[in-house]
Order: sequence, then structure tokens, then C-alpha cells
Amino acid sequence: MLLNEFKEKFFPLKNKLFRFALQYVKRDDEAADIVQDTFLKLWTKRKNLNDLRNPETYAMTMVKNASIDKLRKHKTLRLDEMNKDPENNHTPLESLTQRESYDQVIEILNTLSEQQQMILKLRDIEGYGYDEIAEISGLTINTIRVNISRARNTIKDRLLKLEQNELVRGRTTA
Amino acid sequence: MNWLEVEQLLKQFWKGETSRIEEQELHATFLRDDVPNHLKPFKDYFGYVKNNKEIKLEQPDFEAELLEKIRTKNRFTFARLLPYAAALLVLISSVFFLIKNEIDPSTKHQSLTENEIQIVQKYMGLLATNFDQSISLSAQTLKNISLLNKGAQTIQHYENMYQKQIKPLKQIDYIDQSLVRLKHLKTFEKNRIKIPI
Repeated sequence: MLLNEFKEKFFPLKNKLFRFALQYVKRDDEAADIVQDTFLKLWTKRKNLNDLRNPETYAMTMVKNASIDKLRKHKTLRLDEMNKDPENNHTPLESLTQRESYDQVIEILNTLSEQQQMILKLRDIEGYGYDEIAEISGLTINTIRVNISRARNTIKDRLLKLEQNELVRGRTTA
Repeated sequence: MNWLEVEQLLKQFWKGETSRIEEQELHATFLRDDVPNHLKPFKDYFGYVKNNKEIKLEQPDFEAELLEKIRTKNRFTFARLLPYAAALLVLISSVFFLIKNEIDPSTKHQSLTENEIQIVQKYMGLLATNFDQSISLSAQTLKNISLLNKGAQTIQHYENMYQKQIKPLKQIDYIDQSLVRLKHLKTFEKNRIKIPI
């Protein structure tokens, strides 16, 4: 594979790979390093890249493995610092409300297992099919279905619970 | 899609039974401003997903840096070939030099005088004589070594013979010893004191 072809095929994946790495390492610079290392590793394997059935899932798997390795090395598993501020073109009150609900979602997601978080992000944020998630995660499609269902149900229940608590609090204040 | 359909789709979504296209529709729907109150709690999740989709690798020089590293890697590959290239170059030069000298051997001796040639011939003759003597000496040494080997083989042969013959001799020894013991026993029988009962 020539450099131009490599660029066309893999460089557009950089944001996806970055987000996926960020899910594990929680730091922009570390995630960017992982993506760069992954690209360099891919380049060294350029002779075999055309034989791959799905180069994208292959790259994602490499990022996953590199991220896990990095975590093992540094043992710096920090909980969700990754999430940046939601886009901000609201009034301060609206912004505060949005920030709160955003944080609540993050809190809920942090109660899920790492596996569930990974699967959910691959599906809902990156839009991968179950077969592709299976390739990246090394899990069976059935396990993925079960985990997605459980994770989404947890989110739904927690969101409803939060809403109920809000209502109760509102009534008490009134 | 009306909100009733959305609700239906949402139920399937929680169960993980929606397709990717249906999920995309749901995501788009929940980003609208007119989401009914009873569905609003779920808006947060779709908002979170939207925000995460927008996270980008924001390093302006990322690609340039990466390309530079790729190029350095390529150069490194070429650098690794340099020793081989140098060795090949030396080999080719040597072959070329040898061939060139072989083509015109007469040119090598043109500068030698008659006297020099005689000296060279004399020393070459001496060298040849020494070489012959060395060869004959080596041949003699080899002959001696083979004689020594033969001697060693003969000694081994006699040793084997001795080992074979010593076994029956040992057995005769045992018989002799037994006969002597028997003789002693007979003498003892004769000289035994008889105790009266």
C-alpha cells in the first residue's frame, strides 16, 4: 500500500480512533499518542492491509489493545474526565441545566461495566453494527445484544428515576 | 414520524432491537426542541451521544507529524540496507579489479629487469624446494602416525585376548581353593576328639 492510499484509507478514521482511545485513557494527549502509534504500526503492516476484510475494525481493535496496554502500564484509571462541555450557545441558566443533565448521564454511564460502556459507545456514538462490534471487542454477537439491552435499560430506568426525584423535589419546594 | 411511533421505536431501542437507521432517526428526533414532556428525560442521553460524536482529535499538526514519522521510518529502512550496499560495492570493485588485471598480465612484468627476474626465479626455486621437503616430511609424519595407530590396535587386540583367557583361569583358581578347603575338612574329621556319652 502506498502512502497516498494509506492516507486516504486511514487518516479519516483518526477522530473515531481518538474517541475510542479516550474512552479508556481519559486524556487527550495520551489518546492522541495511541492513535499516532496505531497509525505507525499500521504503516509497518502496509503490505498486508489490502488483505483485511475490514481495515476500520482492525484499526479500532489495535487502538483498544494499545489503550488497555497503556492503562496496565500506568494504572491510571480515572473516571470520566473525558467529556467536554456541551456546545455552549445557551443562556447561563440553560447552560447550567444542560451541564447538570449531561453530568447525570455520565454518572449513569459510569455505573455500567467497562464492557457495557465500550459496547454502548461503539454502537451509539460510532454507529457500528453488531458484527463489527464483535470483531473489535472479541465478544459474540449474542453477548453484545444482551449487554446493549441491559445497558440501555439501566440508562432508561436511571433517567426516569432522576426525573421522578426532580418532580418530588419541585413539589416539596413549592 | 409522529410521537406515538417514536415511543414505539424507543421501546425497541431500550431492548436493543432497533436497526442502525432506526437509531439514527431516534437520535435526530430527540435533538428536536418539541420533544413531549414525558419523553424529555431521555433527551439527555441523546444529547450526550451527539456531544461525544463531535469530539475530535484537535492537534493541528497531527497529520504532518505522523507523515514525518512515517517518512523517517522509511528512511530508516533504507539506512538498514546501507551496510549490505557497501559490502556489495566492495565485492563488485574487487571483482572488477581482478578481471582487469587478468586481461593483461604481461603489463605486470614489463618493469622488471633481467637481474630481478633471475632473483625472483632463484627464490621461487628455493621456495619450491622447501615446499617439496615440507611435503615429504609431512608424508613421513603421516606414515609414523599410521604405524602408531596400528601399534595401538595390536595392544588393544592382545588386551582383549588376555581378558578372554583370564576368565577360565580364575575359575580354575576357585576349584583349587575348594580342593584345599576339602583337604582341610578331611584332616579336621580325622583329628576330631570323640566325647564319650
